[in-house]
Amino acid sequence: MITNVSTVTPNTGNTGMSKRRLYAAFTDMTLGYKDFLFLNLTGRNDWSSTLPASNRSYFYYSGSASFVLTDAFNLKSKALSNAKLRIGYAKVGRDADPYQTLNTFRINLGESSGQTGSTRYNDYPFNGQPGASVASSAFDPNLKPEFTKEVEIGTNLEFFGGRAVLDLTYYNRLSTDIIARRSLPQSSGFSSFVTNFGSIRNSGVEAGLTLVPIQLSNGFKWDIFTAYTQNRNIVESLADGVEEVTLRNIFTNQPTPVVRPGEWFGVLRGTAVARDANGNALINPNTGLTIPDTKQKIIANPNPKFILAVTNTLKYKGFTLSGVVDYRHGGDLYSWTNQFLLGRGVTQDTEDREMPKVVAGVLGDANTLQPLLGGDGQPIPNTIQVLENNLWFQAAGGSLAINAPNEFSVWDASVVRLREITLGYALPKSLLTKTPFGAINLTLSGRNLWFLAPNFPKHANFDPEVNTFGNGNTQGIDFFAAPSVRRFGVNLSVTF
Amino acid sequence: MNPTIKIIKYTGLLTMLLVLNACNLDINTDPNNPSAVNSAQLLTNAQLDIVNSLGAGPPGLANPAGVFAHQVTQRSNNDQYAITGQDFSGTQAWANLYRAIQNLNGLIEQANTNQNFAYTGVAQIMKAVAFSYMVDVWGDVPFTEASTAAKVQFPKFDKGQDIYPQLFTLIDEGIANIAKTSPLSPRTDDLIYGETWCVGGNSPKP
Repeated sequence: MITNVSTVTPNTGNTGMSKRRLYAAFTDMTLGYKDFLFLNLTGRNDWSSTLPASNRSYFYYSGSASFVLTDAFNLKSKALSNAKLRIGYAKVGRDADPYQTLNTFRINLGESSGQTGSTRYNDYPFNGQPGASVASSAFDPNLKPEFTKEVEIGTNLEFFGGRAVLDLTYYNRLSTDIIARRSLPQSSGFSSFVTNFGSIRNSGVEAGLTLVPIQLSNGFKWDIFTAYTQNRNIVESLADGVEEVTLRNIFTNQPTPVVRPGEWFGVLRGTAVARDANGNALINPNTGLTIPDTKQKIIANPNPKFILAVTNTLKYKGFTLSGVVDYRHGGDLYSWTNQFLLGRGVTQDTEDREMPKVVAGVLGDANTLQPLLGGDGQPIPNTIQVLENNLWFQAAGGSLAINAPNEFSVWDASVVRLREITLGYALPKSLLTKTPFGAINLTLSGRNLWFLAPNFPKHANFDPEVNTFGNGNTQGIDFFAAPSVRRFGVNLSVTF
Repeated sequence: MNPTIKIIKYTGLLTMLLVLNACNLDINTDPNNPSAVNSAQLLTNAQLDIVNSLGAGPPGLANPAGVFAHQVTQRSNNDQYAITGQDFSGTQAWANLYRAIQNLNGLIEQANTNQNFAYTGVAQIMKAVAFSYMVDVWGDVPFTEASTAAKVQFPKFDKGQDIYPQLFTLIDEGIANIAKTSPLSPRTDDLIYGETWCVGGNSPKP
């Protein structure tokens, strides 16, 4: 209990209230023909308070059709028990967050607020005087709704009375006039501008395969469910004249997550080694170490190429044993953890300290960033030996880990994982008839039991399923993120 | 009930709803942050930002300059007479100065409207002082198109030698504005001189 109110520190942080109002008129119509052809049409108009009056009303719609092939053509057989085709088109509108159409001021925003656009080094009131400053972001008074158009084609096939079921979906989604924050040069008066710009296309395949290899009359059943997802999110365009938008400012000399036309969403731009026209790294003839490029490059794409998950379930009487293995293919991670393990030489990966190594590449000129040519006019392959001890950490730069170009601390985060095993037991109902309990279930579970990320340093035993910046736009960065956990659990569930 | 009447009734209801909606949707004014503030707050904020950007604290330009001039020693690349565009004090000062100038531009506009010419004058002189240092440090900087409340989103860079003469004009305008009668004048909200701003106007001039 708080006995003395004056001892309470008032919370002056990010408190605020916001109000939004959205009205919608909606219509939904389903038509069926002979139980095998179905058509669904919807239409909707929204009126949103968060958009300027001239743009606040917007209409969108969808149409989808499904066709049961087995019923239409009388194809039903023991092997093919059900076959369905789906096709759909949808357009969806979205409004903005509240209060993004009118510029506002920030009152008394000083150093300790830690916010972008605050006065640095001092707090308000200063000398008893309050302060007011423009916010760091400017808003667009002509904001429009953003729209996403999607085409989806899918099929659902059932074989042998449900012993094998395949669900396949392809989708292609284009989002346009996206409402987002665009960085501006501070000389404009603001560091960013919230407006409509750019378009992003998401396309991919989702597949689900259910197999029941064994189903016995005594109640034993073995189920295998395989899920496959593949998504490509490509930035199609940005505002005119904008080559790149920074998603988040990371500190000096670290990779920056950006969006660029033609690239995947959220790729990392960072420092890289200078290379010749054939992609060979340029090596400084004085040190035998790499020469950093003066220009930053796209060095990592944190988006996985596909994810595959297989769930096996065995059931017998009251027992259920289930296990999930998943595999994530591709997706890069910029990892400080590994950079420092190598740079400080604390894992077995760098144990041969006195062994000479040669960095692959060709000799180059550190000033012109051009390869040096030998007497025959050809580039000269590097043969300069460097001690393993000096390879991973150089105060002056040029190493392969600490103070190296960012690209050397990027690893392919493909990982296979035993995600979960659970063993459950449900007490037979017959034992419970005379008790007040309806059901009693006991479940033992273990999560994240084993993983293998083959592309990381072997002895780091590193789990790439970490991210310093959580689940937001900024992916693929590990600044000493806390390692993943293995978890064991016992769960008793009783119903009355 | 007669079906026609029914239709009219429901259409009427729907129309009423829509009309009601239109009124109720005008709620997009931020209750947490004001869209207008008084001149005193803007002046204090801008002055503090400018002083910190020029001063010797971590976000200030005097930080690397002091190292260059051997007034301070630091374990940094400044100690080897090096500075890059990514150095913290440089990027911070750049951003904070242009934000301060945005606040001063807003202050000048609002003080002119309210005929508080003393504020206009002080803001003009502060702006001139800030730009003179920016030209000294960076050379060519955005000036004519700078800090326009993002009306110009990508301001062009002006030549340092073209900016300097315009600063003297700005100072003269400032001195003239301070001399005018003004319902409100900076007092304790002015962190630098308080009331005697003509001195401030003359001192940056050669």
